Amino acid sequence: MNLSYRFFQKIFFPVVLLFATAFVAGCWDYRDIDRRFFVGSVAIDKGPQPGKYNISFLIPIVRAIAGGEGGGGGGGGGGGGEKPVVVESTTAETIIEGARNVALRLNRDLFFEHMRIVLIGEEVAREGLEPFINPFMRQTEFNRRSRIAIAVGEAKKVMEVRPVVEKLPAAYMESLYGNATHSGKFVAGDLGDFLHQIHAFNGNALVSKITPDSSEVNIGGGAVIKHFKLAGWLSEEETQGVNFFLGKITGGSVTIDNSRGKCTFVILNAQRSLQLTADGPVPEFQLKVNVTGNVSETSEGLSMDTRNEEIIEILVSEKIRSEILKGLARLQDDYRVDVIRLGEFLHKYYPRLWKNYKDRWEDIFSDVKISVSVTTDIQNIGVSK
Amino acid sequence: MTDVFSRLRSGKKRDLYYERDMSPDTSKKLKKDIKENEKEVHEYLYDCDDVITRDFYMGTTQKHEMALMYIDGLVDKNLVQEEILKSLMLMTRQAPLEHNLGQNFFNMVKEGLLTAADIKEVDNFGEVVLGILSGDTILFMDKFEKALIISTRGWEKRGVQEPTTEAVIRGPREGFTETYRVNIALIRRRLKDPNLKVKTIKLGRHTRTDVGVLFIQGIASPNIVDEVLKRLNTIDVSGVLESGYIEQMIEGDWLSFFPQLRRTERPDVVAACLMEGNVAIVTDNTPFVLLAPGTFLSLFQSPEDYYERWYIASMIRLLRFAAAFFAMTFPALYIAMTAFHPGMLPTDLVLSIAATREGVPFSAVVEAIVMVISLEVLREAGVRLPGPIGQTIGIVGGLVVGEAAVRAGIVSPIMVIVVAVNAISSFAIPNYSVAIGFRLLTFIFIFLATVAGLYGIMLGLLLLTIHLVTLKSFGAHYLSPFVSFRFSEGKDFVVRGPMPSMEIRPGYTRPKDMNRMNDRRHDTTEKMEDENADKQ
Repeated sequence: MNLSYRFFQKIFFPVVLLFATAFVAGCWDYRDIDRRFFVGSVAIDKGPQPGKYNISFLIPIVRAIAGGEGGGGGGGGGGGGEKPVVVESTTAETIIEGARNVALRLNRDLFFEHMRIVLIGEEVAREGLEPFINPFMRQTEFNRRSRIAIAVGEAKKVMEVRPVVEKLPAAYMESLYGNATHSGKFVAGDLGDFLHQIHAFNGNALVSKITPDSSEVNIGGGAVIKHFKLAGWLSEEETQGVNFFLGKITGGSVTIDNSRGKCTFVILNAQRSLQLTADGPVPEFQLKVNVTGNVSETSEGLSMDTRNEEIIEILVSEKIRSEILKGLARLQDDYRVDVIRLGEFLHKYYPRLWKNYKDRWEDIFSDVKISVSVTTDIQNIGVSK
Repeated sequence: MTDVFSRLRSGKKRDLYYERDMSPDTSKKLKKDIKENEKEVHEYLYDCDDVITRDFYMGTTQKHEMALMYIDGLVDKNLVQEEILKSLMLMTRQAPLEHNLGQNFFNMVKEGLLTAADIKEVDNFGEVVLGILSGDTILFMDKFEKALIISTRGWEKRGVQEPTTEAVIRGPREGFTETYRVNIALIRRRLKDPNLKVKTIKLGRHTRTDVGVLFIQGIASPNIVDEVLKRLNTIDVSGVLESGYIEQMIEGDWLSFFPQLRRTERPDVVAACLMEGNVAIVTDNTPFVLLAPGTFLSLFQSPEDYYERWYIASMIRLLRFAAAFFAMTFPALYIAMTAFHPGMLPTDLVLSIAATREGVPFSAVVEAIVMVISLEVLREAGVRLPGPIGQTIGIVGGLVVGEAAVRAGIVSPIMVIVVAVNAISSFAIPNYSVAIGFRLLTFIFIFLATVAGLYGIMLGLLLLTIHLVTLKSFGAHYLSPFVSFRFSEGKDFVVRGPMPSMEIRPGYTRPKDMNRMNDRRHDTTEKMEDENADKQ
């Protein structure tokens, strides 16, 4: 076979094709890793005028994180005193515009795929989330696995917290959400969950609450969003109750305190089952929760024997039941918003019934009767009796 | 040998080497007069001062004039003295020959007097001259139009040593040498089978190198044997100095990065491949034997895969595949991941990579190319220099230059790791020349990753796959166990199955006899004894 023919067929042609793809697909977005800022967090607060927002970006300074030892060497100079993160704020009508504004001041590209948490200020949340949450759905760069939280007060304040235990505030905040096996008193769930909820249920969602302190944040409690607006907060106990209702408890603890002594019950597993018991004009439900766990701490009065074991089981059940009822009362009576997905439950399992309730569900929800029964099994009583 | 030539004659109408005007002519017959014969040979070997001629008379009678011709250094002088000169000059004195043997005298010398083992009778100058050049000794006798070629080849040669490019922990330590006969013998010692055929042809107008084509009749597919012989016979060059000459001239696709013949220094590998239906090409003057057809998988095979237990062998083979992948793509993956898709890496890793690149003046691509090239230079320098200095170069290059470059902030430490992993991976491939091929592909992948990120790397891998799928070696699919895969064809692909499960030979060579082993565990002893008795 002719060499030049083979050359054209086997080498030249594929190479030309390769080059062609480079232009056709517009894939030329090569950017060195040290020419990017990996935004850890975005905070949205109320702006000076209506329709404007104060948007802040939390940007890690990698030189300082690496401890000044790595790249710079002789020229770098002093990593010790450098701040590991900076906050860049701007006023803009949308988040993307805000990012572009910041580009006027920063020499590197903002890169959002490593964003860990979206913070929304309380005030702006009360006015409504709808105008600015769109880019989180539209832009591929926003990582749907990042967290979202409504800040108590100003969101930028949360961002300015400098944790003592970690260098990177965003990583610190995000890793708090990994503690679901230790506590059920916060709303776990990421940006993807939130976007799904808020669009599936009329702009209603249960979302995490974040409270800044001087060098720490607290993610206990929850925020209730009704029609894209912040309706109010749930306390930590109420949040745990709602989590029990939703079957999202994978850990945490319940402490009972009665006349005989104290006992801390560590939850290992919680199973729940929800049933429709009456389908009248207002539906009725029955929730059964079965909790298993260990007794990890008791005071002398409740030391473990067969009788006390039963007592503890009953007390724990009662405590959990009261938490659930508190949470439900808050949602049904105060906020009158279905963020516990009862509507979704009906829609999924009783689609014909749901048609009757669908239009009036907001009114019906607060009248819905939910009977709660909790059973507890102690699996492990500890080494000493 | 003869049927090779006849095939040649009938097929391509090519001239044979000894029919060229520059070459000695087989049609030119020997003469009666010994002096004329000597003169004629000297005309062929004009100005060849290493040719020695020794005239002598046989026996006491001094009646029979004889002459020996050989090349100094190519013959074993002891053999010439002990087996030829001594037996003809001294032995005959003790027991004088009857006179007037006439025409029988020649046969008397050949069959009764010479104690040398390997003797051949010739009647033309072509074979005489070739014999002299090959290290044989020619015995001319006056008044006979014939001569004797006595095999006295014996020159300074390297002994059988451990192969340096294919060392194993477990397995024989013997490697091929530069001597054709020794190499053939090393193979024959492993295959005591009359079906092991050795067809020798000579290649190269000037070198006239012995090239042996070895195969096992009854296993090797005749198509492959014919194809190998056909391609070998199309070779018409001035010289063949190494099997690489042959490899490059008979491979199907010389644009490919992948060698289409397997090469080995190990007789046990050759024996194993012959038993799988391969054809071996043994070339004189080189320890490297070629095996056809080559497959992609064979690049990742080491003889130890079969000597070790199958778990170990399989794991090591998987490691080699991983190593080959990294040897091709690791710097490219690094570039694509950091420059195009940093979102795919864990945040902590991204930040630490970014931190190490802080202050590095070049982009990752330039950095990668500079590092890979300098590593290639170091490797090449290390290979060419004599042993101890080579090691020094390695240390100076690897430690001093690398460390200094990182300290000076010219290169990021991560890049040093990437390039080092890339280089070490390539050395995990058993075949050195293949490893270099993979290193070449590294550059292409770096380019693709720079243009289009992971998309480019995928594109490159696709093109590579397309190329490999279409590649064929002597009629066998290059990706053979993977394409047209049949599980029953022996469990010998990415992993190697347990030895008893490899009941049949791999199918890529289209072996005539697929059966590799029989399961006789449940045969009764009597039956086996019966069968053995039948065989005897």
